[in-house]
Amino acid sequence: MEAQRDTSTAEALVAGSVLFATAGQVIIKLGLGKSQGLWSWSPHALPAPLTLGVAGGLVIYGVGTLLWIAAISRSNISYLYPLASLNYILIALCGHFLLHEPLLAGRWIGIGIMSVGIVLLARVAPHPETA
Amino acid sequence: MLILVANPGRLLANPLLHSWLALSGSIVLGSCAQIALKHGANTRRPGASLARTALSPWVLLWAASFTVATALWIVALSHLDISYAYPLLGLGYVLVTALAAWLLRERVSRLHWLAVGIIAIGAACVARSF
Repeated sequence: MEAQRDTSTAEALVAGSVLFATAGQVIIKLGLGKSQGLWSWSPHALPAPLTLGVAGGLVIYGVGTLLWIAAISRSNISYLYPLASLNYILIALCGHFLLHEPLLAGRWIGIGIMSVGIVLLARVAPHPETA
Repeated sequence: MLILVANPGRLLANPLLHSWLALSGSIVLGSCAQIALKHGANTRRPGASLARTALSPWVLLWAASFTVATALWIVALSHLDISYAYPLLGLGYVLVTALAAWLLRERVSRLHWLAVGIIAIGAACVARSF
């Protein structure tokens, strides 16, 4: 009963971590839209890391990372790791629907193949600390 | 692409090239950061204080590489689609496994290599989708 409650807490934490990580990355990308990139110093544009969008996105992404650490301390990483590959799918979906990036077949096939690899990796990698 | 190869001046000024270089650098440095941190954890003296551990050379190396990798990631994102660049960060799984086997002498099973190979194939598909 206790273990079951721990697992559902961990699942909720992973869901939170995926949402925060995705939001953080998308906000960084949106923030970059108004800057000129790190290497082009111009008096009219702030360097990228100092813009509100990029700094805010990094903080939100950081919260996602903290939630992930909280999640893996509660349940087997071999169970949680494949759930985190949802990140790739969600970020690609946001790229298309929010940032108007092209929906390319090769990109989606690649993301699908990578997710299969991540699921397999989680099943075969040894985790002595949680075994 | 051909025009870029035939004209080195334009190639060097190409922001897409900067983004690709920054993305590669971010993946490599990010993976090295993880190896440094794990080596620091492996060689930590039992009972060492938190402050001493946090200021050990390996943990500082992790912090420095992680910071530079994040800055490079922002450079990469400024000219690449997020649905292109983000999946390629998954190449870190491949690199960390290879470096852990080589430098940290971690044992990696055949199935583990197979999983990492599948991730690499997926990443190659993403890399070509431009």
